[in-house]
Amino acid sequence: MKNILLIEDRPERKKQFLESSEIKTLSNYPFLKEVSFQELNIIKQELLSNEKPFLNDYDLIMTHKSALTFAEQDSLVTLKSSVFFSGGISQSFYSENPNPVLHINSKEFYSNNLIEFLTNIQNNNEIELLILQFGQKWKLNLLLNLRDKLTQKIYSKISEEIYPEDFDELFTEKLMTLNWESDTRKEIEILKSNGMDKNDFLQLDELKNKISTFICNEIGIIK
Amino acid sequence: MKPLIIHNNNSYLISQNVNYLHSLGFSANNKEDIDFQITEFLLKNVLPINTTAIFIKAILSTNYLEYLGLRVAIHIRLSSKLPQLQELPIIILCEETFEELSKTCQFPEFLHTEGLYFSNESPEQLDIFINLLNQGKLPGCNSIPDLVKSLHIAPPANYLSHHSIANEWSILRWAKVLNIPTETPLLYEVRKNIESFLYYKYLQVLNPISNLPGCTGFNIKGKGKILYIDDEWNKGWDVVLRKLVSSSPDVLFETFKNDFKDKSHNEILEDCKNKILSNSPDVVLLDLRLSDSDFSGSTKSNELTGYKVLREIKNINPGIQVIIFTASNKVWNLLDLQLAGANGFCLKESPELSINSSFSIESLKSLCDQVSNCLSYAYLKEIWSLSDQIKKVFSKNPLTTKYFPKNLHEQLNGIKYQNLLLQELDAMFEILKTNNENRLNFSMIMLYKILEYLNEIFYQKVPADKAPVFFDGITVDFFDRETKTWKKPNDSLIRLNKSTKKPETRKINFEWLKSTSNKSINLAVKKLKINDDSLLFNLISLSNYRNDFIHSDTSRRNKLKSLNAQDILIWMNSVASIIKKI
Repeated sequence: MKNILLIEDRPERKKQFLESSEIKTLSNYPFLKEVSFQELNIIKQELLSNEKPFLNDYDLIMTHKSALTFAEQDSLVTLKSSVFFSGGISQSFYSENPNPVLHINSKEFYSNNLIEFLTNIQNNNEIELLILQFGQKWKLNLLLNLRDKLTQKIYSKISEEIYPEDFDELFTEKLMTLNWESDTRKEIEILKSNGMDKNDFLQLDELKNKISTFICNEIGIIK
Repeated sequence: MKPLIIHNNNSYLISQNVNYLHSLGFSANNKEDIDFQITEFLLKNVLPINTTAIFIKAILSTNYLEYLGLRVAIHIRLSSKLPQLQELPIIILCEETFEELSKTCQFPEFLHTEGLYFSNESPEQLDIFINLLNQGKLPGCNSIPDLVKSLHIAPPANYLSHHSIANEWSILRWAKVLNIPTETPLLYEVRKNIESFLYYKYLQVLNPISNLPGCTGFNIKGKGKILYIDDEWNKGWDVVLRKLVSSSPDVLFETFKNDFKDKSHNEILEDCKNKILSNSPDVVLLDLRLSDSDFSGSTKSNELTGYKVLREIKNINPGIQVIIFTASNKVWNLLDLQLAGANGFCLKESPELSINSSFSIESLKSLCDQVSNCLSYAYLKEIWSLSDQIKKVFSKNPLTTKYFPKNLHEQLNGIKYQNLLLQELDAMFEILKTNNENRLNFSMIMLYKILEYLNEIFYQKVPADKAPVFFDGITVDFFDRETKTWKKPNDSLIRLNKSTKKPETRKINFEWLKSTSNKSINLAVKKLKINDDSLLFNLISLSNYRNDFIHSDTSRRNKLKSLNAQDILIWMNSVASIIKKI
């Protein structure tokens, strides 16, 4: 099971945010450890040293931004997947270099998205930060990303050849776990294995239309 | 001039090297807040470009739903520092239909605003826009204020209530009015937030801080010590308030530089109590919400930390003046605070109050007036302190000490006058707290009454033709205030006849011996062995003033020198000196 650390240096505010989101407790998730003041000191020391026996046991660190110094934050992002939450963050922002990092406002962090995120780990043993960021819209986000990338391929058809590896890049493992219709999934698999000739862009257009339909379904628009 | 395209290397147009567009890449990092990064990008990279329109990719980050491109577009519209760009046509490049965008983006109402267009990136569609631009048929946004009225931009999500907003908003507005350079390091954080956060840009379109006039001449009258208690003191308030009092040299200002972060009510209360006791301020400028738990929606006004600190201050010394300095404009809170003894209220300037540029100036003037008013009542702190010392003397039950008889009837009589004296003290404090224009005259009369009660406690009842005598049998002498000498009851003294203006010899009469001032002076000097000429002088001046006031007609009374707080303090000190010697 994945292990997650939660660092909160303002427990009173956490309590209020959880109350306002009607979340009674986070103690139902045994893989989630809320660190004590003493443990925080250990973490801070480890972040600035080469030995990390405590941190090594965890797959994701979620921390209130002000609990760590800038140097400690820098060390953390190079070490692990991390989530930084703070009241001063105006808009959530996700990046993947060098590890997945999500910056998110404290109120959005302590919301039902957190429960969905933890439940997903409990059920699938999978850390999906997009659930924390977008809640139920996380799949929609993947589809919109895909459509945009596909569109760029279509527009640049004249100058670019499309190779099998391009489809690997487009149809990531994460994306393939979505509930595709079986014939669409088949079509994608063919594209992934064969690649595409530059004259086959009509096929790409068709695929894009299918993805657009999925997007409409996710949003709740009848086409 | 060419249109500009803002992208994140995620548009095929960039790979095509189209020469009809300026191209700028925006790539956010996870070091700084997004709004800060967008602001910096616009000022450093976009502002220098001469352009006719701006194409922006809706997605400028890894995750589509972040819609950073739309956020950049709103920043352009709301950034007063980009005047030549603000009104340009903006074309959002995306594949979504308008309906899809409306349902997925954070600011759907922005999509309907003037001068904003949507296009996919197909060459045909882009040609249409380029042609329209070249023909001058693609209008921009004509009225940014109108656009703002149709927008709803929420504050960053955990700005609990509107407390933090009001703090930052008023700090920067008041700093501007007070001519404090916003480059001041201690204001840096607030300035950065106000200049960068989309929410503040939105507020500033309607109430621009840059339009505020600088102002001088804020003056606090009076002298004394102000203590400022606020958990947000280090956000810039310390700088702003210090500047406000800087032109009032008789006012000492101190900020309670406490770390309030995540402390419990009781810890904060204890910290504040210790600070009040060590600092002994005349006026406390007190924030209402000092603890994180004060922001819970269910917190009642009398559960707020500031309310409890107010109660504690008034418990230590109700004469300490307290001005509540708060972002809360909830009337029920203010009523509760007034009942708990708050002496003034000053609202931090939240955005909804900034209806015109003069509001900030009026707020600062009001704060100066309130502090001045409280300083004019600051002597109440010493009055209460003296009153407390007097009460402590009587709480030791001095009627059983060596001065007093064992006779039960006389003891009861002493207790009666002691209680009357204590009641008079309380009544005096209560009247001094009011704004009754005669409060100083009333308190002078009450002080005199206290002297009379004191005499009742110490002196036996004697017939009218007998000189006053203490309970232990010692008789009084007469203190000649003109020669400052003691005379025996049978002595004579030289007095100027008021009619003939000639000196004449007069025998000391019982009325003179029995006067309140003479009995009090005898009590102080003969009984309690106080050797202090100024005390005698003060007792005489109190007695003289009281007699002139009481026994004069209105026209003569009006000619009397007006009393000031210092007169009352001097007399109160004298009365307390006598009692403390018991």
